[in-house]
Amino acid sequence: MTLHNFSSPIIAKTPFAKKVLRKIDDEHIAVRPRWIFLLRNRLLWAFAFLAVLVASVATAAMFFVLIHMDWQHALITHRTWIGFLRDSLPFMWIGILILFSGIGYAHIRTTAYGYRYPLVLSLIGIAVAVCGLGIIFFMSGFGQIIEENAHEYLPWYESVLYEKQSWLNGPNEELLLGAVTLQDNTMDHSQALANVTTA
Amino acid sequence: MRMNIRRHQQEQPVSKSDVSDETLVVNTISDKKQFVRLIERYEKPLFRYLYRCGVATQEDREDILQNVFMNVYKNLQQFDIRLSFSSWIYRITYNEAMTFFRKKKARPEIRLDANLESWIDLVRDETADTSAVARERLSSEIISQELSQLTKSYRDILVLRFFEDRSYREISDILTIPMGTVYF
Repeated sequence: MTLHNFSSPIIAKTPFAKKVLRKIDDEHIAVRPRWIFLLRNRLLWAFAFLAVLVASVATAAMFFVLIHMDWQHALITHRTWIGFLRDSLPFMWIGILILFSGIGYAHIRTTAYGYRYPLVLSLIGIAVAVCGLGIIFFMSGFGQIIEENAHEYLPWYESVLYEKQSWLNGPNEELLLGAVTLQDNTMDHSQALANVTTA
Repeated sequence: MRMNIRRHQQEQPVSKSDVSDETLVVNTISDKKQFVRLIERYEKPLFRYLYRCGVATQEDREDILQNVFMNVYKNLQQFDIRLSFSSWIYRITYNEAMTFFRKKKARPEIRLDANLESWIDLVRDETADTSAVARERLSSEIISQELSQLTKSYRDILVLRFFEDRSYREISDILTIPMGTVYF
């Protein structure tokens, strides 16, 4: 685009145009520099990326918990699957994952042309990014670090991986938590039970 | 969305000097007085659009439009040529109108007879077919009533499509919604 030189002087013809120009002069309104808008747009993308990163970390911790949830003992420690899932699912990580994915989407939506991306495509894109990064973080052991640190430093958070030990410590339900310190292969099963009874 | 609505005649922003809006934007950045040309191009179409958005009084429309042009001037450097200037200024106008309704806590009432003055002229004109004029006013009122019953998002799209003659891409840019949503 080149500057266009107008030969005739510019005079506002309509009272409205005169009014607007007068107001611009009176209020000393100036054109904002371009860098402000560029910076704002880049910050929005940066915040969106940061939100996706947080969601990915939560995903890594969520994967770690899900894999170590002792699915095979679900109906031993709990009467129903619903009860097991209620006590075991990492709701905090799922909440953080959903919240930060939403924040990421909202930031992308407010970038200069973010509104042009269809909702479904945006959500799929964010889901793929979050899951992809989440898997990478999980594989590199970051999920475990996050889960253990959350258990240690967040007073309101108790990791299900520690909590599940208490589920196995229920003699009334024929559950007994313990560590095997000695294994005697010469003793048969009935003898072992007899020893326990006499003890 | 196929509707059998007569498209109102538009006063498209026409430049006497054939200078594009984008050139005028660049010129305005270096010379404030050039902004007059942009104001004069868009004053009438935006005034009419505000009426169609449901801003009832002339004073309110003038106030909103004044804010629109102040914002346009302040944010001229934000304008990106990937977007048409017309879509950009309509978007600012739409946002200002919505801010106005939010502040007033009022629901926009759709009005389509923005060409009221031209109809009055027609009625004054003895040679004009006054029954045709009356029919037009009546159909406009019927359409207004029908549109008022639609949700705001549908109304906004219909007004831009059938009364402002905007393409789907332009509507998407003005309302900042994906094109698929406009089609739907």
